[in-house]
Amino acid sequence: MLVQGEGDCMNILKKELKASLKAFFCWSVGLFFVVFAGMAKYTGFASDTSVAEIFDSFPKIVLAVFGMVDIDITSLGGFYAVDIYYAIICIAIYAIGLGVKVVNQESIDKTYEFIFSKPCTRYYILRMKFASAFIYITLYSVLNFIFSVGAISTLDIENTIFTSIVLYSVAMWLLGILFCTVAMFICAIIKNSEKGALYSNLVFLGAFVLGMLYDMVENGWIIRVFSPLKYFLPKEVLNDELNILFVCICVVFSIGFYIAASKLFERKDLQA
Amino acid sequence: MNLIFYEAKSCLKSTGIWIVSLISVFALMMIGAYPIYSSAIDDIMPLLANYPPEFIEAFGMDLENLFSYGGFYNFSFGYIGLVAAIMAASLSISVFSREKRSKCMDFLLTKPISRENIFFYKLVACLGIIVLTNIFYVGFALLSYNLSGDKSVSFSESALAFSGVFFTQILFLSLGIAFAVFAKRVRSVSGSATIFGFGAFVLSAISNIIDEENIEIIAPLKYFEPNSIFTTGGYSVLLIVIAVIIIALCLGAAFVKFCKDDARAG
Repeated sequence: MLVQGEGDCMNILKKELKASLKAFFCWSVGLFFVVFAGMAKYTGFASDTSVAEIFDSFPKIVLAVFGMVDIDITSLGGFYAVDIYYAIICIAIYAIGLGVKVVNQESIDKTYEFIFSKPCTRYYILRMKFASAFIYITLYSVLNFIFSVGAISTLDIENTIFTSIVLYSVAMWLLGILFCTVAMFICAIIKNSEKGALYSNLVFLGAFVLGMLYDMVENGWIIRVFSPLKYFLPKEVLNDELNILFVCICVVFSIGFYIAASKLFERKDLQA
Repeated sequence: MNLIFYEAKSCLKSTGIWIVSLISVFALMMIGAYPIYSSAIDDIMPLLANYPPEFIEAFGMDLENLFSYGGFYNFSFGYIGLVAAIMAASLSISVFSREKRSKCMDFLLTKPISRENIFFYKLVACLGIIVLTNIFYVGFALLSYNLSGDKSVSFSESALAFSGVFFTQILFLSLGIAFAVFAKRVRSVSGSATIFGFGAFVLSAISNIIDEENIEIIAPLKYFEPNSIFTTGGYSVLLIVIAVIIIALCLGAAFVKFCKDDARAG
C-alpha cells in the first residue's frame, strides 16, 4: 500500500478544485440569470381558484402545451416551480460535465501518465477528483438556495415557500450527484473517452425527452422511473415533501454507480 | 475537394443518426401526439365555452391558434429546434476542432492548400450536411402534413415553417464554428454541443417567462419559431436581421482568426 494523504496526493484535491473554479463561476452566472430573471416577472396574479379548477379537468397533453402540468402558475410556488425546472436542467448538464471530467479529463488532455504515476492509488486519485465534483455540486445547490431566497426577497412579497426552496435545493443536489455518478460510470465502462462523454450526454437527452413524454401521457409512472428530471414533481415539493421512493432511488443508484465506476476505473486500460 | 469528402465522410454516420432522430421527434409529436391532442381539444372546447371570452383573454392565450396544427407544431418546435440546434453545434464543433482535439493542426496546415481554402472547404462540408438533413426533414414534414388532412395552413406557409429548422441550424452552425475556432481547447464535442443546445432552450424558456416585447432577442431558438408564420405570415424582420448579423459576425471573426492563428502543438 502506498502512502496516501501526504505531499503531492493531498494537492490533487486542491488542484482539481482550482481547475474547475472558472467553469463553476460561469455556471453560477447562468444560475443567477435563470433564477433572478425568471422570478423578477412574478407580480402576484390575483389568485382565482376557478382557474386552477378548470385546468385540473384538462387532459395532460393540453396542459403540457400550456406549460402547466400539475402547476398553478398564479401562485408563487407554482411560478417558482416552472422557473426552477430550468435550474435543474442546468445542474444536470453541469454535473454530467463534472462526472465526465472525473474519469476522462487526464486521458483527453493526454496527461494521464503524469498523474497516475504519482505515488497514490488510482482509486485515491479518482476519489479526490470525485470529491472536487461533489463539492462543486453541493455549492451549486447551496447557491440555488441563496439565489432563490434573494430573488424572492427583491419582490416585496412574503416568502411563503421557504421550505419548498430548501427541498428543491436538496432535490437539485440529489439529481446532480446522480447524473455525475452516472456519467462517471459510463465513462469508466467505455474505452474511448469522446464516446464516453457522448453517451453520458445522450443519457441526459434521453432523460429529458422521457420527461417531456411523461408530461404528455396520463399515468406514466413507469416513464417517471427512467426520467430523473421528473423525480421531484412540483405538486409534491410544493406540499413540502420529497417523494421518499425517488430519494431512495437517487441515493442507492448514486452509490451503486460510484462503486461500479471506481471498480471499473481501477482496471481501465487508459489511453490517450 | 478531398477535404470536403473527408469531413463529410467522417460525419456520415452521425448525420444519419441525427436525421433519424429529427424525423422521429417530428413523427412522435405531429403524427403520434397531435391526434390525441386535437381529440382532447374537442372534449374541452364545450368546457371553455362556459367561460366568458374575457376569462380566456385574461390568460393571454390565443386559443384558436394554440389549438390548431400550427399551434401544436410551434409547441413541438421547442423540442425539434433543440435537437436541430444540438446537431448543428456538434457538427460544426466536431469539424472545426478536429485538428485541435487530436493535436495535429500542423499536419493539416502544412498541406499545399491555403488556410482560406481549408476554412472554406470545412464550411462547405458542414453546409452540405445541413442542407441534406433538411431535404429529408422538410420533405418528411411536408409529406406528413399533406397526409394529415389538416388544411389550416397553406403549402408555402407550411414549407416556410418547416424550414425554420434549416435557418436555426445555420445559426447554430455559425455559433459552433466561432466557438471551435476561438476556444483554446475543445475537450468534448458532445458536452459543448449539449451546452449550446440546452443553453438556448433555457433562454427560450426564460424569455417565455419574462414575456416582454422583443425579448426573443436573447433566445436564438426563437428566432425562427413557426408561430410568427401562422400569425403574421412570415418571420419577424428584426429577428432575421439579428440572426444574419450573428451569422456574419461569427463566420467572419472565425475566418480571420483561423487564417491568422498560431498553430499550437498541444
